[in-house]
Amino acid sequence: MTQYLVDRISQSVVVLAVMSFVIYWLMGLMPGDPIDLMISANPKLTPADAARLRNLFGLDIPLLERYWNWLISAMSGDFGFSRLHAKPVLNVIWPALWNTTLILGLSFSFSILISIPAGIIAAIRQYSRTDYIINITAFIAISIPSFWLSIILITIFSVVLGIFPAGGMETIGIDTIWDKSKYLVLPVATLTLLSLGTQLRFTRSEMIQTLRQDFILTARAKGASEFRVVFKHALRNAMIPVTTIIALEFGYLFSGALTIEIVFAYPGMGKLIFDAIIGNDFNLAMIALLLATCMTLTGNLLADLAYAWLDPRISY
Amino acid sequence: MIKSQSPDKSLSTWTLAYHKFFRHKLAVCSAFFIVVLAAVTASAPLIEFALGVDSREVNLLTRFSKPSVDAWLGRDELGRDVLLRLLFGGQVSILVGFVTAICAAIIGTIIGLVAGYHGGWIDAFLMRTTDSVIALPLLPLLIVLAGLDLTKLGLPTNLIESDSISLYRIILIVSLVSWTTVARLVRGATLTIKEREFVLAALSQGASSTRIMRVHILPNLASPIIVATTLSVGNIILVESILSFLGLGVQPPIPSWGNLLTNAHELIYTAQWLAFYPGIAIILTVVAFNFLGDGLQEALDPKGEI
Repeated sequence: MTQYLVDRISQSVVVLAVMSFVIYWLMGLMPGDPIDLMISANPKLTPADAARLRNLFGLDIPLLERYWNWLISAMSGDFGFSRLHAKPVLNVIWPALWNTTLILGLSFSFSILISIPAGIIAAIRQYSRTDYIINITAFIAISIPSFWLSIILITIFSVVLGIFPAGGMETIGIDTIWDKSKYLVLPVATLTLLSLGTQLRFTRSEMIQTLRQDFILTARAKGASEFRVVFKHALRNAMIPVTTIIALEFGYLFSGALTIEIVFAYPGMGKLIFDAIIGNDFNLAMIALLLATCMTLTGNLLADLAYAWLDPRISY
Repeated sequence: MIKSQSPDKSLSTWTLAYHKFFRHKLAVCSAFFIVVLAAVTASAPLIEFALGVDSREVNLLTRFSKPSVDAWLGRDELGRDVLLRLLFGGQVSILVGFVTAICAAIIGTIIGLVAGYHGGWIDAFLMRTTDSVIALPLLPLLIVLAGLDLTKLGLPTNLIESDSISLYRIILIVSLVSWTTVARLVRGATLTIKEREFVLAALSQGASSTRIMRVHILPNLASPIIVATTLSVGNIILVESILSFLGLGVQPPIPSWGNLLTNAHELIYTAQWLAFYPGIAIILTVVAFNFLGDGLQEALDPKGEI
């Protein structure tokens, strides 16, 4: 197990290192470099000035060397300044990270609370009307474009009914938890619906497969109650792969959160990354993307470890 | 139960799959829906010609007009026929979904086949790479890839300035991240097939490894590849719609279901219904592909009941 842990962690570190180079390289291929931006801000700059500035900022040295310099300063904790926000990068990232964690955490908890019981019910009553409805709901949930669902919910609840605000985080001047939570309802509801589908389908199919196993037959033959068979014998076994999928979903949910944050103008990591990329804020985009990579890698690592830890048949 | 004409006449795998598929009503309906949708969207130029209207013609006098006999679903913010725009958009979205899914399946099949057949460090390297791609935050990375400056990549200017460049770009970048499922499935299947007797027989006759992979293993991988590809079409249509919605996928003047919704966000206070149709079209299509994939999975599963 320790060997496995060391292997998996070092693999994640390698991926992160490779990705940091790839992202750095891609950032250099984005339209407009810092000097282009200066030229557009100051038309008096001559090409000779531009060349001098490129030299001054070290933009004319080879890619690998530039990356190495960036890496050295990043390692020493200097992540640079954000161009859009005129603040050190970390000061911009922390609040966004907290905001994203908040909506991800809330919608994640809600969707698990709904999908697992619903998945179990669908599995126990396979091919019944309830199962059919649950299954169709799950199919639709995985097929809805996230941004469209957000727009429709805004139309219904903000424009037509006027119950919840259409976007943002708080009403300026009102600083209460009640006010803030009103802004969270629609983004969290959208994200919950989006993550529900996969979890529901997976819980259902795992439960159905487990209920067909021989040990369930044995449990029934011994006269165990149906409740005991389902919750004690079947559920515990079915939950092993379900846990893995749920942890894996985390990365997927991060992508889902991105579009939702943009539509709801919610200041989280997804919107931050999008705005940074569109606004040529290279320092910020670089660190935010790496942090996002780090988060999804951790989710995957936890999924693998949970699998190894929960299933006693697997030994490393 | 399938009644075969004579009890001792055995059915071929594909006939069996065909019969099993037709019992899955939702999948059959979905297949029908997809065929009809593809036919109708493909004939959009014909419909346009028959009606004698131009879906690209801007007419500010008729903007936001309600559904009528001339325009069944009304007109958009520039006075264009919503139904026709929807059909042209569907053409592009479905085409991008199909082509991308096939490109991704080809990449995934090659990687999975090579990894599974050769084993050893090649397998370890390719599969660790696959795991790593799965573990990446795909949407943020796609946004970066979609935003790249193509002149810095050294592409010819006339290609960059053509209208269809956004189509090629989205097909390329989405296939670059969607091959992982197929690669894993193909590798797993290859591992079991390469131990079978017919592969050993071919090997003993001196067949090269490329020939064994192509002639002996690949045909046996058809069902997992078909199922995974069908299921991925829906997902790719969703990703395309998100990127196009954000203004980074298919670019106007080429319409797609995603970029039809780009303006919808600004119009929610004035013309809510405009946001409705492209979304419904996306959901129906994606649901249909998912049902179809599910049906094919059951039909092609040799372990399933007959």
